[in-house]
Amino acid sequence: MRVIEPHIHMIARTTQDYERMAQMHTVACCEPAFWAGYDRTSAQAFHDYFTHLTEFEPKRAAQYMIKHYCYICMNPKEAEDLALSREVISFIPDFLAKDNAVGIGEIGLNRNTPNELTIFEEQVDLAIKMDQLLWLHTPHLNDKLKGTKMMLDSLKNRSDIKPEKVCFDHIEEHTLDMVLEAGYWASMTIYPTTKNSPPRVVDIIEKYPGAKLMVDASGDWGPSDPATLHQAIFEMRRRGHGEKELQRIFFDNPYSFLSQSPKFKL
Amino acid sequence: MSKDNSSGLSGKALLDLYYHDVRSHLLEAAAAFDRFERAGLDPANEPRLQKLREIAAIVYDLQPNRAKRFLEALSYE
Ligand SMILES: [Zn+2]
Repeated sequence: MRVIEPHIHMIARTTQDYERMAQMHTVACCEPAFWAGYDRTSAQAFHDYFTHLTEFEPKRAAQYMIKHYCYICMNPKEAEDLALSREVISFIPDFLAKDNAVGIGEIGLNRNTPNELTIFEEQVDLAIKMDQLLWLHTPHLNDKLKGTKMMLDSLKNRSDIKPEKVCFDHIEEHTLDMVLEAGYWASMTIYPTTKNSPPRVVDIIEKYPGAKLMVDASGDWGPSDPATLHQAIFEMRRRGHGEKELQRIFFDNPYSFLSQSPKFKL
Repeated sequence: MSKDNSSGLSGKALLDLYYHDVRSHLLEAAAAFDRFERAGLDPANEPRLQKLREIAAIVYDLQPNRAKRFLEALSYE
């Protein structure tokens, strides 16, 4: 079975991780733009980062026959600075023109502040105007429920949004219903302690048959591992699910979402 | 949303599969409370431990959607 990893930060991973992913049958991965672990000191630093995502990573992935795609954005953690954010947003269209850029992401909220919401809405507007996919970051831990509601409320004001082109990520049991009921895609991130475990992900897949669900490992420089995606595949197998259902979750669903971008080709 | 449980495994098979995981997670929680108490924290008064005691009750109550209610109880308004 071929696997698509819909959310991973390969900039934080070694080339050996690409090799392991390839050996586990990952054929494509998507890298949203995010926080670097420290606040960048200028718009130029973001420019360099976006250049890395659109030039260096696709080449590194190609050595292992993995297609590398990315989303470009001002991430929520650094969006508190409105002037810096707007300077960064001004050159996002240049990077959306690159071959492997399929949309805007991961935008969203971090501490659920008014400035974060402003920059979220300005980037949603850009995505709608440029007809781009949107990959949305929902806040961590105790802020997740409120932040997810705030983002859903904000999107309600956009009658011109296409919900099928929007995915809410880092979804857990308490945020899933509201996202699916609004018609959006939902992705579940497997993280050892702070997000989902493989058994909980499979619980949700079983409770919502046929729903617009994806699973991602979201590997970055924190405690995480690209192989958690494949642990979830194994968890589904040992829970008695057949290959057809496995393929639906780990290949067909991300394929359906991503191939709404004409650039996504496997 | 339509919801049903489409796991291919029987209840007994699921319990066999996860019993030791669940036992181990509960034991870790019990040992951690002992550890905090030995270090002088009072589980009845320390706010985060008090919150954990509250949500631990959700784990063994007899209502559905325990994971969802657990996460909701920890969410900021
Ligand atoms: Zn991420």
